[in-house]
Amino acid sequence: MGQTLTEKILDDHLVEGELEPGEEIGIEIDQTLSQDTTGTMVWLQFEALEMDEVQTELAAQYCDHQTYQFDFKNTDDHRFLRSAAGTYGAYFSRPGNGICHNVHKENFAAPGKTLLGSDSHTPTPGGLGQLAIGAGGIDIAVAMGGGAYHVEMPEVVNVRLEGELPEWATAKDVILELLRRLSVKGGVGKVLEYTGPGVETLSVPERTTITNMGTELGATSSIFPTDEKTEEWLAQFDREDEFVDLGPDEDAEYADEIVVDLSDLEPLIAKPSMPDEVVPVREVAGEQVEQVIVGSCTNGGYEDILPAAKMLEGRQINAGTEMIVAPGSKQASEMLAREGWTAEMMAAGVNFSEATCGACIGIGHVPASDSVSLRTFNRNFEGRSGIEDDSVFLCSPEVAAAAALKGEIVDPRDLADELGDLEAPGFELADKYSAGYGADDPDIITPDEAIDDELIKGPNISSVPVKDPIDADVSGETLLKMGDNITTDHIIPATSDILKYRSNIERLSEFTLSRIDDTFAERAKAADSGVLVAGENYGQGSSREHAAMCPMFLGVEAVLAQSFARIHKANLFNFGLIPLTIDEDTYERIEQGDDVEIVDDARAASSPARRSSRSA
Amino acid sequence: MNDDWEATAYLDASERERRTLAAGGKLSLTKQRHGDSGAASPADD
Repeated sequence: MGQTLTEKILDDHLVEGELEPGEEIGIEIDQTLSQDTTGTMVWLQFEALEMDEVQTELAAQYCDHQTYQFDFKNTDDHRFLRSAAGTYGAYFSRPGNGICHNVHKENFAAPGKTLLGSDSHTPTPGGLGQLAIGAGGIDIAVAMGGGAYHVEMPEVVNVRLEGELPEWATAKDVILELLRRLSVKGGVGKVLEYTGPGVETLSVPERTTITNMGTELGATSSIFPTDEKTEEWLAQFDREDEFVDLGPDEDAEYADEIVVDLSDLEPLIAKPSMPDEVVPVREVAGEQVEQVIVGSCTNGGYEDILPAAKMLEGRQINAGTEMIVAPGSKQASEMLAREGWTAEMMAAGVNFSEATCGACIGIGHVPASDSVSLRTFNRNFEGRSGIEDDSVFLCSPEVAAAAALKGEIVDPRDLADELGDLEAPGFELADKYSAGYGADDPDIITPDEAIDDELIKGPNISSVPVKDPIDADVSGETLLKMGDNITTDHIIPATSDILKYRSNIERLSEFTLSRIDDTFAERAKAADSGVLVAGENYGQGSSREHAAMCPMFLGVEAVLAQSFARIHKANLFNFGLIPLTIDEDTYERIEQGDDVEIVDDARAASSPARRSSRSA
Repeated sequence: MNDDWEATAYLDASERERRTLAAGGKLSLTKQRHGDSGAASPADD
């Protein structure tokens, strides 16, 4: 029987288990990446494991979430990360150089390789045929030390693309269409593998927009085959020698097939406050827009911003709308500037941000109260923008630029009709990217160029908390009962006032679940032992392991939920919290404040001999 | 629950995940299994 592309790459890297869906497998990791939110814990754990040197082919450390460095704690973290990369032999991308996914895609992503990253959007380079998976920081630390990464063998789903995108429809609309059909849980336990004649009509940056946002479907990863377009993309960075011709066997069998006819797509938009609240743009046209942001790891490439720039050329954005462009990498910024597009956008009234995750996690450009913000980002979870009752829509750069011109949500096709001279910008690649990137990128310090050979820890960088082995008796109060789709942003917000404590778990834990109940941390600490209760899809969103580490630090022993998001569930195991699945009746019956006792011997239930256990 | 009623909850976990839980987490488990060696390339399993 033939193999899917996913199976081929996994087979090449398999060190444990068999490629049977649902079975746990161990795979060898070729590359790792970390960013500054999760990276400090990755390296502190690497240190705690008493490792001497990175063992993977490549490890890269980026500084992209807190690049504004408004507090010395952030700057200290970046200095610590530089020192860790230097000490242990990783590449270090300096603050401001760009978002990890964009810089990695430009410099290091390689077809056929495995990549493990401590960021949920790590699957982005799947658009180049790399099998990339997001995981918790301890998994990255172990992988860097040469250990295998373990994951439940996902089902491989064939997403067959047919036809060709019509004018004004984009790659963003492809993934929004999948979110509309499948919901934020539709990809759980699956790798989405793209095939079909539509693939060759999409460039690599368009493919990476789709793979990046496969995370919002809950997918383990997303991947495209490689072709001439992949080779041409790599050649733009003088990396064509890394090209490998990859694709599924003709007789590959998939668990399921989803067909998307690209020619049927139209401009789509995700309404507040979930990425799967997708409707045609025309359905919400007329809504006044006060803020528009083009950028992020989803749509922050040079090629993503260029269509918006073309639409703005010689025009003025609406006086009631602020527009910000936040490129995904300094390289994208440099190219836009060198070709004159930055000046064109500034003349139209655009403000520029440095290349950072920034506004996507509520760090800068927080929307005004009671206002609409249109963003080309991948998430619009309530409150993520930095204001609790926000109203954030997700869309393509073309729809964003149209809204900036009109001052309200408008289908760009209708705006083109109205203006008479607005042409569809299409999707254009650069002839050649700036020389001097990759190993010669002035903002990437290679292992050979390291300037540190020992860790530099500021006063805000503490040690990694370690939980004691599990007790036979586990019991405690139901400290909090929550609903469905609780995100890691609910558990530990990533806003700047909180995230600056990411390397200091004692201090950070004071903010645990504060967006749901600001008395939680105090009550949990006083109780010393307790459980959390939640509905479906608990822990969706980012890979940040602080969302498991902080409840553990406060004494939470177990989480009882109707279902768990993949990475967060792994993080619960990694920090010794018991993830127990309950049915709807049990969920409905448990009240906050109830005393819960696990009747089974919890230690025995955790023994490898038991495959499934009953608790109560 | 409250010494009053019982319900069934399920621990859907692999053998490796159960070992991790029992040890108190992956860091503890990895250190337990490989801490003495101080080697640079321990596998976690």
